[in-house]
Amino acid sequence: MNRFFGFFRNQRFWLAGPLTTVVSMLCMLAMAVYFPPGVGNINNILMPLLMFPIIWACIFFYAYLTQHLKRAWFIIFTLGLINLAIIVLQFTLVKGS
Amino acid sequence: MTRTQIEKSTKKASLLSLHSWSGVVLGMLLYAVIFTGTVAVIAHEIGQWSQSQAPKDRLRHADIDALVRQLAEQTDPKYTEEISITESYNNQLVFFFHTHGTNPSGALDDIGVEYRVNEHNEVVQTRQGFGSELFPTDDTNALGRFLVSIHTELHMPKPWGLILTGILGLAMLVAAVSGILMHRHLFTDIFLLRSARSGEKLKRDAHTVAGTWSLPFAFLLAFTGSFFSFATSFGLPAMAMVAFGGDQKAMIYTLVGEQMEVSETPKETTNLNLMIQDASARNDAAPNNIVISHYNTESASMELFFLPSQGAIISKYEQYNAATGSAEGVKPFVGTEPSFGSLILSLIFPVHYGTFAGLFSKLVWVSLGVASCYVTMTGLQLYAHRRENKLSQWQWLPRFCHWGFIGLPLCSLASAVGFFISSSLGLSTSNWTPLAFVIAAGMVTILSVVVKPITTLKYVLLALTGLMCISLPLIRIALSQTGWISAVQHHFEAVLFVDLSLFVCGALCLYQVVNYLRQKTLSQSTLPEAV
Amino acid sequence: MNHLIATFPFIVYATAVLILLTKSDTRRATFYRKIVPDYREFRIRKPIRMALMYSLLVPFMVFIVVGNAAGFLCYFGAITVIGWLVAEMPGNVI
Repeated sequence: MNRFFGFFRNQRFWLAGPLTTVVSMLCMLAMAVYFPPGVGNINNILMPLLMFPIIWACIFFYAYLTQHLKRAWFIIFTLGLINLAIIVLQFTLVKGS
Repeated sequence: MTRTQIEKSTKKASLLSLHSWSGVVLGMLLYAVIFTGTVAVIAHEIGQWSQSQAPKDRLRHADIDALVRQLAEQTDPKYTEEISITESYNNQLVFFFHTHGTNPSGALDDIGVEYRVNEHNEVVQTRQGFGSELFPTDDTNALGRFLVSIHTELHMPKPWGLILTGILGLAMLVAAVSGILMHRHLFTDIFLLRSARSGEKLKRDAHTVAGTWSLPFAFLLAFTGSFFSFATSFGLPAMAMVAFGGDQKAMIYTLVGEQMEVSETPKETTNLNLMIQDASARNDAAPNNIVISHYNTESASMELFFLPSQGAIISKYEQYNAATGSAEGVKPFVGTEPSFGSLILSLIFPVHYGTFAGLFSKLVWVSLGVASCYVTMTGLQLYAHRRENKLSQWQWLPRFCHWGFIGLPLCSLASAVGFFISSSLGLSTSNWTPLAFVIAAGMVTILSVVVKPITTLKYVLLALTGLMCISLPLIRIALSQTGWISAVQHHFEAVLFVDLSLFVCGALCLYQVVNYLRQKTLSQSTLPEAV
Repeated sequence: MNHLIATFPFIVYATAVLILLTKSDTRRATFYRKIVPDYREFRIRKPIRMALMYSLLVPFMVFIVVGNAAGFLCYFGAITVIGWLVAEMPGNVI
């Protein structure tokens, strides 16, 4: 079993797998708040959706290839937190208004 | 070795491992999506071919105005909120009078009445229900729809199928990027395909050469494909949550560009035919579909969708104020005002679908699909080949490769046979097309288990695929009476294109089988002398 | 169909250039010299090879100037497929 499921104990798996997926989704969602909506009022919805595969790929390859795992954990985690904060702020503002 | 060299070789090993595992774990599903995607490029032609009825552009030439008036009178007024009009592959006009609601599964859906009108302007079928129930049971497009649905969601329930195909798109992206990063001589090896002593091409070279050439499109198709899957499965609802506080309806209104405030004051809609003629003349083509909103009210509008015209790659929505009959110009792909997002989205469609320059662009896109299929096949075969003689637990992989790589086209052809036979017997093609696929898949699986010599299995499956390819046009001609001469007379290119493509594929499969049998006979006849 | 007919000569040109580039590829020649009897070598000087390679990009500019977006995409797709098919040809053919 260890032969097949040994990757669960690998830090890089958790960094490049679940964390990268969650953080790239948070980046996409937070972009809806700060991306300029443009005249058509739709750029802030469409552009983040379009950029999601690229955001994911960038974070994934960084997480997968980096030699400095601790730094990568810190950077990706912080990126996730900042974007989460933007989303939370948006919801509080919407509720408040 | 210096520290940088060690780091480089570790990175290369990690990339190779990533490239291999993204291929091995998801390779077969990726092949299924790419193969059916290649077929989906010509889904429209397959639809026309399956019905063997030359298109008559009835959306341009029929008296749409009279038909809409007549049908609107017999329809519940709430369903005249929106009327979509399309032409089915058996030349019937399909009118869907509908409003918007929520279906039993809680999703936003269209609900209304669908009328099918034949060439004598008689209503031949009336159905009522949700759009999500009516469209999947349209028997005229059962074959094309079944094959396209494998590509988009692998026939899995929503949204899981879309999420899986999105993940497959990302896997393709990973394989393409890791392929570039790990290959040192990517562009110097672009013309070199070495062969072994037996004359067989080296699997590694076959994989890298095809992979390098198709790299730009593999990247583009993977990126656009994963966008389509993720955006429709969870992206749009999630964005609605953040940008519109969860109001999906408000977001759809913004994206579709519908009027939020509508006047329901009755006002007779002007002659629809005049607007259709005007738009058709300006685009020098028949519309692909027509949507009329708020029929017979002050807010009545009409949208006509046209495929790209000469030299362009972007499709067009011509918009009219149906209350006054005045043209309101071309509507952006998304939203009410031209925007960067709408432009990019309108470019993504032709790049992914290849449907911008008729059969010519489709032929190029099919070839790109074939190249991508070849890359996936050779990649997985390379992995299987490297482990074949070393580890006993990988012995199943080459067998699995033949089962999938030849089995899927074979089962797709079987689904077409199922479609034709059920159609001629008056049975539901929407049920029998998938059923024929499943029956064929069962038989291919049994064959793959029963036939022990792996080479024999490969050529048995290839022979069956070749025979099926050649017999399908014959079955179609026998059942429809639309032969090639008649197709040429009626400028029915789709039938000729699909029939000839099948003959070419069949001939290629059978050529390989005959070649194998000839070599086998030769080696057997020379064996006693050698002894 | 005019914009597609306009694309066709460029595709024919690209095919010819890709055949020349394949035939004059030194790595390919080194390999096939050993296994194909009477392999006819075809040499093109490196600067000319580079010029030929870059000339494949010229049609892209023409399509942009003329505004033939469909031709641009078709040409792009076609050269990748033709390049692969030409490279797949065995040494006794190309």
